[in-house]
Order: sequence, then structure tokens, then C-alpha cells
Amino acid sequence: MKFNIFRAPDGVEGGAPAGPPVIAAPPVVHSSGPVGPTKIAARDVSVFYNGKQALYDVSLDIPDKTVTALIGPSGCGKSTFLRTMNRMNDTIPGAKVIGRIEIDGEDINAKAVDPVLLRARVGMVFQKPNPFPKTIFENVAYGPRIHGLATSKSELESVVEASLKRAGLWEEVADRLHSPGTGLSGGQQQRLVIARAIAVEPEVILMDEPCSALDPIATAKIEELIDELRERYCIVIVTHSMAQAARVSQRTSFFHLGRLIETGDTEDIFTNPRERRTLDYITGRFG
Amino acid sequence: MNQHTVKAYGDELNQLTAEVARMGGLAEAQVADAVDSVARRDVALARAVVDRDTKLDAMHRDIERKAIRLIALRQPVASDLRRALASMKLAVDLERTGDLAKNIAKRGLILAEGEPMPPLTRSIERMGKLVSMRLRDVLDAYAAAEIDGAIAVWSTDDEVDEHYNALFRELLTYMMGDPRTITAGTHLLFMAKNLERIGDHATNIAETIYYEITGQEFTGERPRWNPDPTLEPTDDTDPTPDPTKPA
Repeated sequence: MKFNIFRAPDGVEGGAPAGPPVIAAPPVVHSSGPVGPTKIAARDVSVFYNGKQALYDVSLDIPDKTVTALIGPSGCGKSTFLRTMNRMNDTIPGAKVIGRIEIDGEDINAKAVDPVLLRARVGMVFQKPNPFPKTIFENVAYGPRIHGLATSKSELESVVEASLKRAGLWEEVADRLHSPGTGLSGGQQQRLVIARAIAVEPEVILMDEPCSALDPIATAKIEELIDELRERYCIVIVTHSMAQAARVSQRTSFFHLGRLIETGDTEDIFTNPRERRTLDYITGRFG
Repeated sequence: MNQHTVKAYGDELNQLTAEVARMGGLAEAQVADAVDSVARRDVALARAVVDRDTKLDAMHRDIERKAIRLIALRQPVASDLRRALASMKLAVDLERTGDLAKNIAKRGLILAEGEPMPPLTRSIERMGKLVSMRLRDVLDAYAAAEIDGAIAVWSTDDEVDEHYNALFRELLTYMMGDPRTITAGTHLLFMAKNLERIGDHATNIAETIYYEITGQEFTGERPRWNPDPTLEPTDDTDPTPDPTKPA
């Protein structure tokens, strides 16, 4: 019996096109269900590092109260794109961002926007937990204090408690709020950092590989936390773990070589992606 | 399609597909041989069909075990996941097909002890050829990941039903005419029913192939044989005509 060893959806209606990828093609956007209203709208966003282009004309609507996962191989531009959403690229010498990014219809790159205030609205969690070398309490209280979100000591205490509770850490640290944050385990530190981010009442939380330094149990706790936070915030997560993207997100965007290739409902992306490059990536065929 | 970065993963998927194709080849041969043994009153061939069925059962278990292992260890997604699941579904259809072929062969052994009934066994042979052909076509479509072939088989299931209906009437006429043929006629009737069921498994296989390749369910309306064209088609998948009603 003659045998076709690569059973690809080539030539099938709705399947991926055969042949070399058309680099300049617009991204495939699809959705099978309703998503929240758009929180962040990126239009033709390109990023250059010292004149070298790292991100090409990315346009993407990110819905509110939804977890959006950005996936793609290393160097695909997903972290670069994430960092444009709270102007973290401003801090990198030689970085230039063009295009427009709006949060609730407001251009975040406008002159009138204070990046410090922007970063309070758009919190960020990094790959390695980075608590301040202060107590657990002070880590969380720092933001509300400098942004004047609490007028009294008792108010500050209640903000700290609420944030730690929302980050699922309160029960583990309630009796040692004044010990150093750096003495916690990696997973606890990451939840402490999340508590610190949500203490300033952000609208958006950006996460750049928040679990890659954690063990599976700590990872599961963070993922459970992300699922709970989704009810209140717009969450964008960059992850190298496709299983994690599949578990925590409702929308997934696939980046490759600095371009947005495909974006859609996570379920669709992981069951029946429309783009060949997406399929190759999620099934482990890249190369 | 590109190769998997982890080569062993791709090899395992290909091996799974190859084993299903191999199992399909055996099931196809079982059906053809069973029908042949009835037509030629070949007792040795009928016994061989009965004995070979355990091989199909073993292949079914093996494919299931390999697919489960692959899902557990490789966590396939998208087209790879559909491929693993399709192999399990196809193995079930092929195993049932083998059981039905075995049943035909067993009835053939009983028929071989009585008087030959050439016109009736010829009708069974014709229907058997049609069903074997459909099984072969759908398995070819699977091996070649050929969606048109699968759709072609899917959309012509009514041919089998028509054959079955014609055989049903033919057998009824015989049995009414000569009650001594009732035992043999009943066995032949069950054989026809088994062949009709095998045809349904071929249709199932076509649907599974469609899903495996496209990721979509096949949603077309399947043509169904209608015992009385003046009646609305029913959802009843059993094409057995009602003998109390005039044809």
C-alpha cells in the first residue's frame, strides 16, 4: 500500500496553504465566540533596536477581562510587543517604537502620558520574581504609598491585605508580613510580585514568562491565580510553554520573525490553526 | 508537512497510521474471504477467516495501546491529536468489521453442510463485492490522506442499502415459495445484514478521515434508502423494509 507519511491539511478548504510562507501576508484573525470589549488596540506597531527592526507592523485588539497568550519561538517579537504596552522599551537605549497603541482609546505614547502612571495602570510581572529587598508588607505597600492610593495606615493595611488575598498569598504570609520578601520561595515571591502589581489597581497585567523559573506546583498556583484575576483585569501573558498558553488563555496570538502570524480563540489555535506556520510551531515541527 | 523536531514523535505517529492501514488491509481481506467462502462453499477458507479474527483483535488492542501511549507521552495537539484519535476510532470500526466477517464465515460453514443455493449465494457475492470495494476505497483514502475518496464512499452508502433491500425481497420470495429453504435463507439474510453493517463502518471510517484531515465534522446530508418514496425519510438507519407493506 502506498503511503503518505505526512498527513497535512494541504489543499483542504480552510486548511493551511502549501508552499513557502508569504512573509508579508496580513495575520489571520479568527474568533468563534464573543470576547470582551477591546482594552488595548495596537495599530501598525513596529519596534527597532539600534535601527534593526524587531517587530513589523503588528495590529492586534486585546480584549478586556480575558487572558491573551503571546506565543512563538525565541526572537519572534512577542516580548518586544508585550513591552510596548507599558512603554518598557522607553528604558532601552536605542529602542524606537512607531505605530499607535491605545488603551481604552487613549494613545499611550502621547506626550501628555506619564510613563510612571502608565505603568501603574499596566502592571508587569517578569520571568524571575523580583521582590524589593524589603519586607513582604513593604513590597505591596510601596506602590499604593507612592501613588497616594491610601490616606491612612489602616487603609494601607487593608490594601496590602486585599492584594495579598487576591494574589492567593495571604494565608501563607499573614503571620510574617514583616519578614523579608526575598525569604519566600520562588512561587511565593512570584505571587508577592503579582500582589505588588495589583495593589496599585491596574487595569492591565502583562506577564513575561511568569512561571518559567517555577516548579509544577508553584506554576499551577500561578495559573489558578491568573484564571481568577481574569475576572477583573485584562491579562497578556508571554509564554514558551504551549501547554500553559492552552491552559490559561482564551485568546492566543502566534508571532514569528517579528510578525504577528495568526490570532484567534485559544481553542481554535490549538485544535485547528489556519496558518501552516502556527500548526508547525504548536505541533513541534518548526525548523 | 515539515518533520517534527523530535524525530521519534513523528516516527510514532507514522507508525500508528501504518498499523491502522495494515489492520485495514487485513479486515478488507477478511470480508472478501468470508464472502468468497460462502460463494464457493469453501470450508477451509471459512475456517481460516474465523481463526484470523483473533489477529484483528490483537491489532486493535495494539493500536489503542500505542495511541494512548503517544497521547500521554507526547501530548499531541491539532492535526497530530486528530491523527492519534482517528487511529483509535478506525481500529474500533475495523475490529467490528472483522467480527461481522467472522460471523459471515461461520454461517457459511453451516450453509456448506446443506444443499447449494446458487442464485442466492450469487446475490450475496455481488453485495459482498460492493461492500469490499467500498472498504478498500475508504482505506485507500485513509492511507493517502485523500479527502475526496472518503467523501465519495460516504455519499454512496445508499447503494449498499439498495442491494440489501433487493436481497431481502429475493430471500423472502424464496422462503415463501419453499419453506425448506428457510434455515439457509435466514442465514443468508443475516449475512446480508452483516454486509450492510460493514458498509456502515466504511461510512464511519470516511467520516473519521474527513475529521482527521480537516478538523471539521462532516455535516452533509447522507443519502438514505427510503422504503417508501411517498413517505418522508426517517432517521431510522436500518434499511430493512417492512414486510407487511407492499413493495
